[in-house]
Amino acid sequence: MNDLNLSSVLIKKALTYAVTLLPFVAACSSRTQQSEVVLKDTPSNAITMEEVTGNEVTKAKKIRKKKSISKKEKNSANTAAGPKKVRGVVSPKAKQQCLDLVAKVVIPYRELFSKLNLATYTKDPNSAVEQMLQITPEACDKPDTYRSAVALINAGTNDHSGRLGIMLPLTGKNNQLTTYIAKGMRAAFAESGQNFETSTLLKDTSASGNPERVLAELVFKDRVTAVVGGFENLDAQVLAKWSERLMLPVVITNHDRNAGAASRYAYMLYPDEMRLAYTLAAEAQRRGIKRVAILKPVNNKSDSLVNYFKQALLAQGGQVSFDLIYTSGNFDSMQAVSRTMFKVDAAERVDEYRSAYRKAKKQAEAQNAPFDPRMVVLKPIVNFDAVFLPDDFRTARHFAKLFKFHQVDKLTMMGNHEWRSPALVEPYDSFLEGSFFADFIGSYSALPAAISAQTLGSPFFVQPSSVLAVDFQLIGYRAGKVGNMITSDKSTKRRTLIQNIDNLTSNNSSFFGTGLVFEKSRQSNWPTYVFGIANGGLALEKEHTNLNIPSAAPKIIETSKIKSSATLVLQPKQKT
Amino acid sequence: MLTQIFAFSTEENISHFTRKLLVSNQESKSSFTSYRSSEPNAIETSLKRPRSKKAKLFVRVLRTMFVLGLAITIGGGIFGYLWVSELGLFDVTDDQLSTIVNLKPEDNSLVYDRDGKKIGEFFNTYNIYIPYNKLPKNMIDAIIAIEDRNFWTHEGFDPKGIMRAALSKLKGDRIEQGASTITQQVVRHYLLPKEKTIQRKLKEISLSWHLEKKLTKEKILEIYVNNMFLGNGSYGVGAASFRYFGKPLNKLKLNEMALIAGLFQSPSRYNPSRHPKLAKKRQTLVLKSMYAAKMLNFPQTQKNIKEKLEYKDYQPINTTTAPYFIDYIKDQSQTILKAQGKNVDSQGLRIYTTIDTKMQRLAEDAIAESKELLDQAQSRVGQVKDNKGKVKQATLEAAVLSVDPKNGEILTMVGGRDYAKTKFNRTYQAMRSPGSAFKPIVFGLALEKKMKWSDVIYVSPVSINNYRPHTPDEDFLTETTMMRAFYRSMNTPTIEIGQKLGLGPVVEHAKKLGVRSPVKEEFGSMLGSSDLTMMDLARVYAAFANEGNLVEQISIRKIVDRDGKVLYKAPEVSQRTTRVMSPQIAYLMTQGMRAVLSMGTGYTSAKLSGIAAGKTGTSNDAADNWFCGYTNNHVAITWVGTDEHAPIQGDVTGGKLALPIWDRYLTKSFDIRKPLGFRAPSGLTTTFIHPKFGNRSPQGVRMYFLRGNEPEADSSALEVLSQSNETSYRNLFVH
Repeated sequence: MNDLNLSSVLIKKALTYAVTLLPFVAACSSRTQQSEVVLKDTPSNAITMEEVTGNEVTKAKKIRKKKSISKKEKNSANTAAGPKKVRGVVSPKAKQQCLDLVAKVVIPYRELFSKLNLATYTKDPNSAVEQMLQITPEACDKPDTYRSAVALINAGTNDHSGRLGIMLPLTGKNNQLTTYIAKGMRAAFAESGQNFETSTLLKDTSASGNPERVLAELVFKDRVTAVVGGFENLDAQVLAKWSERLMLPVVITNHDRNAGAASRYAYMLYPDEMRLAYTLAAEAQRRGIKRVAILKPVNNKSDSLVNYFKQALLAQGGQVSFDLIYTSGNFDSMQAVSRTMFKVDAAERVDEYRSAYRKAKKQAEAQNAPFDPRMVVLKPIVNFDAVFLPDDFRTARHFAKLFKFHQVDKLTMMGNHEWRSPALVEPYDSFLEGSFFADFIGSYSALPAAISAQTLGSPFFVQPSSVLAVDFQLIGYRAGKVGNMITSDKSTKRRTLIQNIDNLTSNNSSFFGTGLVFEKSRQSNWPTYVFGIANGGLALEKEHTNLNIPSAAPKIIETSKIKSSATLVLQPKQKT
Repeated sequence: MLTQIFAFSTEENISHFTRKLLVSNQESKSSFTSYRSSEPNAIETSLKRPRSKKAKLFVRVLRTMFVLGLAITIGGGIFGYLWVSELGLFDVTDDQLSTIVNLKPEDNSLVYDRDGKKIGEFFNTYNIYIPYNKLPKNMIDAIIAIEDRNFWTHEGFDPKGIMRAALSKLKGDRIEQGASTITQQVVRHYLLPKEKTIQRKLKEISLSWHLEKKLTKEKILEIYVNNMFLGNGSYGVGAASFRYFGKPLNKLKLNEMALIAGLFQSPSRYNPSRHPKLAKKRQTLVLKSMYAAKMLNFPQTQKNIKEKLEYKDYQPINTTTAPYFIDYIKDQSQTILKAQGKNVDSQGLRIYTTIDTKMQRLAEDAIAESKELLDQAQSRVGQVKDNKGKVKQATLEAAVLSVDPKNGEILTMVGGRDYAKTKFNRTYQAMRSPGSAFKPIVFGLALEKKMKWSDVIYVSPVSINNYRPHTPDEDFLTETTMMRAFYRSMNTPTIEIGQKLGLGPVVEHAKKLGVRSPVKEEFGSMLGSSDLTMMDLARVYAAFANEGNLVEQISIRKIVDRDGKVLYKAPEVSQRTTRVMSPQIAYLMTQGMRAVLSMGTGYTSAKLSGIAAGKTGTSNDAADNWFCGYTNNHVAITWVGTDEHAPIQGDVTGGKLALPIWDRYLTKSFDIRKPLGFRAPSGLTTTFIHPKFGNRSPQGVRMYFLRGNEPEADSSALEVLSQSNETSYRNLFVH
């Protein structure tokens, strides 16, 4: 693990234990007066109520605490000597806590266990997690069973084999992409000298059709340390849900940055559109671009990016001049948004248009040439600084030509990672000079050695046929690195692994960037790069690693009602 | 009657005999029939030559009269001499005869095809000069027999003839026979006025006598037979031979020669097309004269009189084989000779041309066989206004021009559908918009400038300096390789390529490739808006066909005068050849134009794509429809349109109107000019390329490249995008 600073992880590990222990110790201290059993049986990494139940549970606990205080006060009133340490008796509070533990930990495990196909599952009576499943609420009644129950819960939730579970839809519609991810993970393990086959358990979620069952197998049968997966939304939902309930660390490789937001144990590892949007906004600001016309493809693929961008732009005092939707590849639709953007069809220019129309018609007649009304265009009115076009390079190039057709001499265009293609600059269109886009990958020559990518003359391009493979291998590689780190320390209890992950850092600026691998919001700190089009090619202009991105989920900005009429009425051109 | 016949032995007698014969046979249908049927032995009997008592008596009387008049003559001799001397009759100088002595008789200039077959002639007066030694003996005999039987013996004039004429005059008879010898007729024709006076007659005699001292009998006869008007616009026996019998003199039979010989006296009176009976009589008389002059024996005479004359209507040769080409040759030869201060008409020139008459026939047939196609298109031809503003229906025309690219020789030239209707030669007189047929010039230059067939172009509307080409069928917002843009004849990519190259360089390149017509420096020219001629296009395409060598076109190999002197000879091919592009670029273009046939706008002739290449062209509103194509040894340009530039409605293109004609012509021409295929020069490489996205692709189309300039990418982002249903490239966020 070259890029992960293990030493710092190990140092912080001790601190993590201490931190983990503190609330428990505190809790136990408060419980000391009630039960020695708890204190005695609580190990250094013992489970805490807050860990188990989260904030809401904590609130409930506080309420219950108040109630118990009331009872305590009542008891105090009854016993002037205060609460007594009664050996062999479980205090009501301890019992309640025990019951809560059973409810919040055992019951979820049991629920997941029920997802297993028991016909094919061989029970293991010695398995801590299976033993934990045997705990019943009645165990909280007696001190001896109480102690066993808590110990079993601790053991069951921390019991792991040191192997990484991987849940990917390897055979579904996205099998090609997930295969790349798996390949990237293999590369990461191989680079670290680990045997991927023995270190991981790769499960196909598509084949089973039931990701919960797959997860159950990983948890109960394979006792995995952590799980990587969630490429598909259903998988991501399952992982997010169960990671929180099982206190199981998961790394979710899903494009929805909010897919794991509900779970403290879920980490998002995927190129982040929000980071991309903020990168673009930052670059626009750096270039003095304030007024931006946004052209968005009708197929919704860029909706999130556009929303994040608008948020970022508005936050920095920018302005959205136009927010138009078009149908990619449809000339009439793209022409219509261009005309709207350049105010060719503006009501106040009707007379001007009529005049130009008549002139063109006369000219055609004089030249004995056919008259084509589509060729009548007015001088453009450009009252914005740039166009944001989160679509592929092909659309960008066609728009550039349409803009030229409308006699726009120069216009900065902004794009997303879909612009990254040799076809963007070959053959070179000088109209795009000065335009820029953001991507999640910098120079391909700086890729991890394990990821093979044949560059095309320039370090900024790889063979187009392999570009997706590279993208998804990198996701897999990154997930593999994190997974490898998580599983490499088998001595650490599973529940505490998240502290390790939180503090995972990288010093590899060429690919992972520097600093924490995950942000505090558990989003992957995947760096972004700005490329400029200049001098007949691409130039890597800037790497953005420490963007000022709000940690809270962004507020979704409603798409402007400024829509091209053409977009609303026209259907994509039928290909013949 | 027999007695009467026997009494004649002189020409006069023969004439008289015939007259009598005619009178005697007035009741019968034909005098010749009567010879055969009613009096079968009459000719035999009549043609015997007994000494006539009457004649002897006549001579005796004449002698007596001569003696009696001798005194008067001697007495008046001195006076007569003085009178004649005063008239200057004996003062004949060389200058006076020089017109005849130095005569350069007119002779048609003849045009020959590449195989030496006569296909045309240029003349002021229709005259085929035949030197004496080429004159058939029978022809000479016939003329001498009827016109001047003593020609070989007299010294320019025939005293007997004069006396005979004088007596006829004294007797008040009409002088039919005349006293003029051939020499006198020559003198009279060239030197003297037409009026009949004693002075003129004396002068004629004098000049004739002197002429005989200057020229040989043969030469005088040669002048005579070649220059006398013989009717039907012909001068001389050679010309008359063609005009009356449609064949050269040496192919004439005796009876036909006799008819021509009879024409000297009065071409109009004996013109067989107007007066066949009189002509026949005259011919009979000639034959009899020949018999009388012992030039024929009796059976020969009889046989020839009986033999039926088969006349042939005059067919002007210029309009039969390659009329438009003949016109062109006249223009060309005049241009050539003008520089030498010469004229082409009636100069007896021999013009050896390059035309292949067999292929010319194929080209004409190709148009004729496309009648149904052209008629269908005719129904969609729009109306036009003439000069007076009157609306009229324009007529659909077609033209074919083909050349040998290796030597620049014009092989066929069909300037229109019907020469009789319009002589306007559209192959070189019409300036027409070539449309997309101009594009090879643009793309050829692009390849020279290191662009390559696999270069990708984004197809969008273009606006250059307010020029927005009308491209109704262009599939905007698509991508294409340069080659696909070429073989599908896409307009906006062409404009963009032209924009990169620059207007000036493209125009210069057009000139370099052989365009002589002015090309306007405007972007419309890239799409063929500047009018060119078919000759221009033939040069351009020939340069591609000839591996980058432009050979200056020729239609005339050489011009020789009547003396065999070469007046003009086309420069050798090497002297006419200019390299205008590298063989590699030419081959690349040929491959592009083969693709036009195999999968482009010329797809209907895909079967020819193995051995031929070409480009369609359609100007605005299909006013001009072209197909310009070639094999390695044959370039053919076809055009269909109207002279009035009328639009043609409907789905009409060069590929649909001109290509079928080209196809018909070229396919049939293979029997004559077998194509050998195109030879790839060194320095090229080939691979399969995706036709839209430009990357290497086994499923792509074969493209050729300059070695080292071939594309490297095995995949294309555009291809990847298209395979993702064009939803997203690098679809990280769309699954």
